[in-house]
This record gives sequence, C-alpha cells and structure tokens, in this order.
Amino acid sequence: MKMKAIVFHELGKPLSFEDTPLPSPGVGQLRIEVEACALCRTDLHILDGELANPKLPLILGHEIVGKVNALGEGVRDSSIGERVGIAWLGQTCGHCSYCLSSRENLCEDPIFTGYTRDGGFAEFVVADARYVFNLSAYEDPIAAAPLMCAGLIGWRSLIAAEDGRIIGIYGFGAAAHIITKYVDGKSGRFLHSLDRATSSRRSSLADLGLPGSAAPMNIRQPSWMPPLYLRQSGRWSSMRLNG
Amino acid sequence: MSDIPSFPYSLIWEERQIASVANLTRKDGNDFLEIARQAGVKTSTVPYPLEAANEAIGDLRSGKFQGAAVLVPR
Repeated sequence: MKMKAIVFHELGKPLSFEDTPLPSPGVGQLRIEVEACALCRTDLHILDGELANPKLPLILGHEIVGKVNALGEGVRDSSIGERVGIAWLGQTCGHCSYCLSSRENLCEDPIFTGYTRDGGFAEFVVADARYVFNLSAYEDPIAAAPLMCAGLIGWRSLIAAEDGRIIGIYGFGAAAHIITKYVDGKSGRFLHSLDRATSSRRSSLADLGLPGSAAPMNIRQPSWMPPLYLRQSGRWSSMRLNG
Repeated sequence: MSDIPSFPYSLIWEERQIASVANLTRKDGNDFLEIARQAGVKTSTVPYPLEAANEAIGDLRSGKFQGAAVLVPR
C-alpha cells in the first residue's frame, strides 16, 4: 500500500511529491488520515538546517488535523473516524527531570512530529495515541490546523506572562495573531507586537485591533519597544515566539 | 533564527521580565483547545493542495499571504 507525501531528502533541495509506503500503526499508535496540515516557521528552520539532525528522509508538518483511520495494538481510547489533532510533541520519555516536573515540553529524549518522526505533509500519518488531541468539537479541519502549533505556543506564552498586564510579543506571526483574538481588552490586559513589521503583517494587524481596547496594536520599527511601555507601571513580559 | 534587536536597559528595569517559550505540554493542548473552542477563536488560513507544498513554503518565506498556509491532501 502506498500514499502520497511530500518528502524532504536533502538540505537545499526542493521537497519532492512522491508515493511512499503507507505507514502502519505500532503498539499504542494511531494511523490518521490527514485532512489538513498547517505550515509553521519551524518547518523553514528544519529545511534550512537550523534545527540539527532531522530524520531523513523526512515528511514535515506538525500542525495536523485528521481522522483516525487505524488503531495499533493496545489502543482503547480512540475510535475509527474520530477527528484528532497532532502537534509538535510526538512522544516524551516520561522519566527525565522535565517530564517529572510538568515540563514535558523540554523532555531530554523526545520525539517531535515532522522532525524526528514523519509528520503531516502526507495523506496519512502515524502518531502515539497518548499525544493526540481530540478535536471532535471542531468542524472545520483547515481552520483548526493552525491551532495545533501557532495557537498552542501563543497560549503557552500567555500562561508564561502570568498576570502580566501589558504583554509584548516579539515575532508577530500566527501565534501572536491567534492569541490577540483570544485576549479580551476588557480584562485590562494589553497586547503589543514587537517586531520588524512587514507590510502584509501591518495590513493584517489593521484588521485586528483589540476588543474593548481604545488603542490599536502598536507596530514599531526598528525599535522593538513602543514608548507606551515607558509610561506604564506594572509588570510586563515579552516573549519570543516561533509562530 | 535571527538576533533580537537591542534596546535600552531602562526598559527592563524594575524587575520586568523577558521569557521564551518552547513546544507544548499535553496539558497546554487540552486546556487551549477547549478554551479556543469556547472563545470561538477564528483563524485565517490559505489552503494549498498537498502537491503545492514547495509553492506554499516559498510564499511563507516571502510573506506573500496573510494568515497560515494549510496543506490539504485531497
């Protein structure tokens, strides 16, 4: 059995669209029929060799939405046809100091989707059932795909900002974009973009604004801190995002 | 990955903080996907057929589109 996939063979070469073997789910794994897979700037970092030692050949893609197509041995909590999401975190060791302290994102021996395990630029993908998210409540797979990395890293940033009232986000990509849509200006929190803004980002930001906030998003270039910060008291956090 | 631009020390005076984030935990995923659904977060997407991956990557590099590029196998 074969499937269509986009395969990364070598640094500096275009990806190739080809027939590859249909993967079989191993113990504890699912095979998912991919409905949508979003692109992420991390994909570019892998393609450019900035993230070392990818699995090669590699199927990229870690913002995956699809439907469960086959169950591996021992999988009980999933059913065929169920919509699920697969993100960057493919598997963790479960016993390093990070895993044992609720920071499995920093696991010392992880598997990453679309980097050290094949990802979603394909018709099918295999994933560890314990690291797959249930998306039964999401009706549009294309719309849900960017949530699987950009949305998640933005969310993690927001958590990292704790009770910060004024939040600056450096690197205004999809992550900051999605989080902007979540943060409610009425809560008294303000988001600012700190970036080398491009024209396409400028125009997309013009559409955003913040609900309940008098001030639109600040885009400053090349200085990365709007003067507003100088006048505001209280804590702020700024975060580097890879979305 | 490019350098972060420099800025005056005064901007982080008074114990202000700069932090980075990496990856996700499963708790992040479960929390966020529930909250995003409840909040009705809408994404902006630009679909490409799977076979157009190189074009989508080129467009992402050059900042050609707004929103997120999404590959759709069929």
